[in-house]
Amino acid sequence: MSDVAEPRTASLAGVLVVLLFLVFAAAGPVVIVWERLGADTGSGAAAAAEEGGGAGGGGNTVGMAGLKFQPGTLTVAKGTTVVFDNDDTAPHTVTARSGGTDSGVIDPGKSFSLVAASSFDYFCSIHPSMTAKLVVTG
Amino acid sequence: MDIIKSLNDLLGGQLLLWKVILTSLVFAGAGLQVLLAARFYEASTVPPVSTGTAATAHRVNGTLTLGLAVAVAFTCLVGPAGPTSPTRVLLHSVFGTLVFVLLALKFAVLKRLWRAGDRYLPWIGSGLFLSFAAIWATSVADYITAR
Repeated sequence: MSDVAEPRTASLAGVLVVLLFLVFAAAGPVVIVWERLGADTGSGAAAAAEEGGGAGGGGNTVGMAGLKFQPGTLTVAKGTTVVFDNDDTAPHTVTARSGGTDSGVIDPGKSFSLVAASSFDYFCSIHPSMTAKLVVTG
Repeated sequence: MDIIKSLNDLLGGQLLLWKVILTSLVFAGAGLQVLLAARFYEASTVPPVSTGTAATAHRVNGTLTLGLAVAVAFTCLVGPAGPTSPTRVLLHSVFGTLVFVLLALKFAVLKRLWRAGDRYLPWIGSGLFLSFAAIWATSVADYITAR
């Protein structure tokens, strides 16, 4: 340690560096609480939408919330338009495991739709643990 | 959220892959920091360099590793930092916070704001490495196993 030239007295720069790290440390919890409050406010709107046949209520809609696709398996007839609603606080994608279909980034509050042609397994390329399946009949 | 979309577009839709690569580099950098610190504390003969060189390398490597860590942390904070489920994501956030708390402690010692903390530097450094390991395990490891 003696080879390292360390300051021998506390300095304003030192205080600022330490404060900066504490701000970084606080940033995560602050963002989580902030987005949680936003999600709580948004959940009312989501519930209202569901009452009107929105996300989760229809037979051709997949919701994204809590880092999950809901339902995990959706079965529709060939030619049906399937809507993927991002009701989460994070951006997601609908990416076919075997390639082909890729929604790109779907920001919170946005949707992606496709016309069901064949069955495929898909996942979120931002959160790979999010997986689901679209089953197409007929 | 537009920042994440822009970054993702800029990286050809491979933002997550870049985060995986950079997070792995940060983890490797943290491991090298431990080795270098052990060398200049003369607790180890590995790597085979002088203690002065080890101290300088520790500082340079630490600066680079910290820069990468802040860059990755930024994309987490402006992007998918909000959800607290599943537990993996919550733990990832907790360890991310812990890293910066430990860095604040470390720099409080280095900048002579907490003089009595000298003796705790090895423990703080070890804690940093373990926290980076936990961050890696709750992100990159999940990415790999999900493939």
